Amino acid sequence: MIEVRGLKKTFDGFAALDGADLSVPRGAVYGLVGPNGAGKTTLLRHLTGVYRQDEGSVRFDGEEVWENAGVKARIASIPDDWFYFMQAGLRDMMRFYRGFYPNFNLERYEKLKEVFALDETRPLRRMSKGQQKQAAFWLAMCTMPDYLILDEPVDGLDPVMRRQVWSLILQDVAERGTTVLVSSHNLRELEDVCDHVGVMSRGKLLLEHSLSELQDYTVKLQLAFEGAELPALPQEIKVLHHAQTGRVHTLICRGSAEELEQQLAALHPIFIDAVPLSLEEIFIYELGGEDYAIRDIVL
Amino acid sequence: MRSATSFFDKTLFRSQLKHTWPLWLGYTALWLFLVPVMLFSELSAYQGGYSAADASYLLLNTGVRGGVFISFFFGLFFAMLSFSHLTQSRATNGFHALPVRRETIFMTAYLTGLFCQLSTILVTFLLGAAVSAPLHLSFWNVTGAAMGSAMLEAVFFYSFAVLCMMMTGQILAAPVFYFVGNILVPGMEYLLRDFAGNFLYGYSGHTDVALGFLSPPLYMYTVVDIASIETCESDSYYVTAYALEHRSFMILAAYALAGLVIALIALLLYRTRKSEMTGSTVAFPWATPIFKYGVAFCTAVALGQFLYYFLFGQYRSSGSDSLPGTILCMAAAGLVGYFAAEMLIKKSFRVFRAGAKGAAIVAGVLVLLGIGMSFDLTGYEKRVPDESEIESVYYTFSGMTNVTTDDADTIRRLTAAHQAIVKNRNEQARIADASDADTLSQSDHDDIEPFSLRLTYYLKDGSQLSRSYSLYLRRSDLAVPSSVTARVNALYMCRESVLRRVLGNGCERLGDTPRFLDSYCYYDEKSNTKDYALTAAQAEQVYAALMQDVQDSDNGGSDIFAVQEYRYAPPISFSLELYFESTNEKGRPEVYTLSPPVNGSTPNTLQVLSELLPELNSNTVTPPSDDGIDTLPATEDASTEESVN
Repeated sequence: MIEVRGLKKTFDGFAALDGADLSVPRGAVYGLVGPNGAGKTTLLRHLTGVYRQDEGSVRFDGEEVWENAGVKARIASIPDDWFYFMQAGLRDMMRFYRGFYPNFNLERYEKLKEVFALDETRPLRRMSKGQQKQAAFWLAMCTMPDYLILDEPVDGLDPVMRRQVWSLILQDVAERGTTVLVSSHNLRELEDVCDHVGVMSRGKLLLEHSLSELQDYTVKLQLAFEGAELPALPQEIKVLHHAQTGRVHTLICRGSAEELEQQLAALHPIFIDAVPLSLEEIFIYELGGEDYAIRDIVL
Repeated sequence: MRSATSFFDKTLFRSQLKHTWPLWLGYTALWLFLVPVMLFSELSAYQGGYSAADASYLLLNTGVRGGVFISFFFGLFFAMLSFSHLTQSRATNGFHALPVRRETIFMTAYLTGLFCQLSTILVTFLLGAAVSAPLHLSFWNVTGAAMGSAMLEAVFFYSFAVLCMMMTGQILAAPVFYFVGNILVPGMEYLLRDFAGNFLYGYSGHTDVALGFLSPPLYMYTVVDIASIETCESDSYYVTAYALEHRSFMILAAYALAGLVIALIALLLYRTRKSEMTGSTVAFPWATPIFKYGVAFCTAVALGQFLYYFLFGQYRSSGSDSLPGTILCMAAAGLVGYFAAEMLIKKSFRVFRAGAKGAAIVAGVLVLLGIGMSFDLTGYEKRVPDESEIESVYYTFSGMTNVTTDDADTIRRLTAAHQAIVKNRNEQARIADASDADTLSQSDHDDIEPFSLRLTYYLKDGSQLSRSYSLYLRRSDLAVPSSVTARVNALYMCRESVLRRVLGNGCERLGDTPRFLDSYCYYDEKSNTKDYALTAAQAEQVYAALMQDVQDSDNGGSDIFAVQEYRYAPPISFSLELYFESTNEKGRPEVYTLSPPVNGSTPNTLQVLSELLPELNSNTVTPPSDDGIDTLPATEDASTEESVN
């Protein structure tokens, strides 16, 4: 389990992380989403022991990660800017990784040759971004990690390779109980693979739930009344977003669909319908409350 | 599973070696060329004429002196390569995400660079020993010493370069830090002493550089010495070998030890260094103000004084430097340095508004420094210790008479003279300016004589106070008891001063009853020096005359101007080497030399010599005229010629 508590990090007076809390259960696939500059990459660099926090704690199974070689040997990370030596080919990097990760599985390395059709001797710097990403995955998977920390992991990969990579990851999750934390802006893809989601903004986690909880927690309601005006809603209903087309009102509200339908029934709508929200919609409407809404600007 | 506290990682070491090999190869090639290849070439070229001494000199000179240059540059290159991951964000993050501790990364990278250098030096010099085997050189005195020296130098320079790498996150800043760091302290000391010498009245020591050892390459090159070992054969001395002086080796060992301490500091810095500082000019936030204000200060001192000279000094033919002008230039240069440092730190040219506060501090401090110096707020210029504070004193007149004494009367005269000098500061400065500008009136010109006095008080609290003055003494002031001239004259003519001036070097060994031995007298005539032997009895006689001259001076028989005239324009002069036996510190008898200068200021001695001269046993030429030395001053050239011929 990954536990982050009250994490703070300041760069030149700018609070990149401002008391972030995060909990990733063992064996979960956790999607970390948030707008640009929310602090996702900074958080991930704390999780991999690259950055040292100003305040707070970052623990894996109760152990601090900072300068803890034992914990770090169980973590494989693929940052957006994956490091390799300038002259190195994939095979050189494999030897490098093998020297550091005690559980490095050479058998798996050989097996994965079938998946990643890469020239092992070719310098990595001469490979495309997608090929470098494949190389990073190949090596990361061979370290047999208990924790996989991914920053924009499939960025640059073609659709087939994306599916292939996710398939390998999920296979590890299922078979070995690997815990995966993935930061991405591709919400549709995350929706397919994640079972937990955290939304970050301004250095904090706005919310984190299992995906099903999150989808239950925020509801899109379409309803119409006799008149065009929306009657006064009960105070206990928290509306994240309201849009109107003719007499049809679309409300994004906090709470369960069932409870909201019961409360709104008292207003005698002509019809009321609860529509499931996509992760992308949740993201947009949650961040709308954080003053991060899409603005209607005509250029 | 690797140890969590391991300081070395094999995988990292191999990986580092892989990236270092081109530099390592170049380094090895250079050493190979300079030692075994050079030796082999010399041995082949001279076909047996190449001696063991030649070979030992080549090995030692290459190891000791060549090692300074090679290690100075290659130490930096190896450090830059071994720790290059600290200057690229991707590499920093990649390294620090690995399951190894920071200490392990540091030590492995440090040892890789050191291993490359030391292994090359070892192999190179062993090959050198093999090539020079036919000459039967002493392995430890020559090859071992040369190899050891080169290794010690490599340890120091490499460690210092590593420290520089720790301090920055920019690869190009490291060599700047390194080169500046190798000369900064003594360079700044020299400039500050020069500045103080220009503007602090009485400041002594503007020509000294006490911190020269903090410029290791220069210090190593100048202080470390290779000694020649000579052998006497048939009354002739031959250099048969060379060896490194023990002291020199110890100096290098001290530097290497300092290098290891520096490496330890670098390790501690690496542990606390933040990964996100990669790319920053200064890698530690706490060091940023030190860097900014340090650059501002150094620029103010170095560039400010240069700017003053460039704008005003170079066209000025006379007069002293202007403190406000210099401070103004220093403030301007300090601001340039401050904003340049800000630009480097922030990587932006738009630093003027945000840096205004710091700039105001820099300018304010420099202006305060100027005001403080102008009004002597620290009391430096006016400080004259009380007699009760003084243990002993040292002083020298124009560098000719050196006196060290704890005599109460002398101390009283010295402090009185010092007080008069301090009070007379403005008048002295006025005369100095007028003298420089050649605007002294004719009467002043005839009345004034330049003179210098350096003094040091050794105080009872263990501290010292030194001052140095260039004085202008007026003949007309001799009779004014409170004047600088009268007080300096009183010091100049006191018994302690006269004793040392008349008796010269060695007088402190005389004791109460010295036993004189056969001695020598040298008569200086134009460019020729003629020497005469003196018997022990004659030496006794000359000594008695010298003591009579001391007594006469002590009784007010002369004054500073008269003595100076004889000293700098002597119509006739002798040098004496009077040997005498006295007891040393261990109470054992030992022979010492007294070297008194004899001229018109010592008339009794001249008289005795003139009486003795006809009886002298000349070894070379005829002694001076029988008419006596007293007659010589009137027509010095002609009479000397005549007397000699």
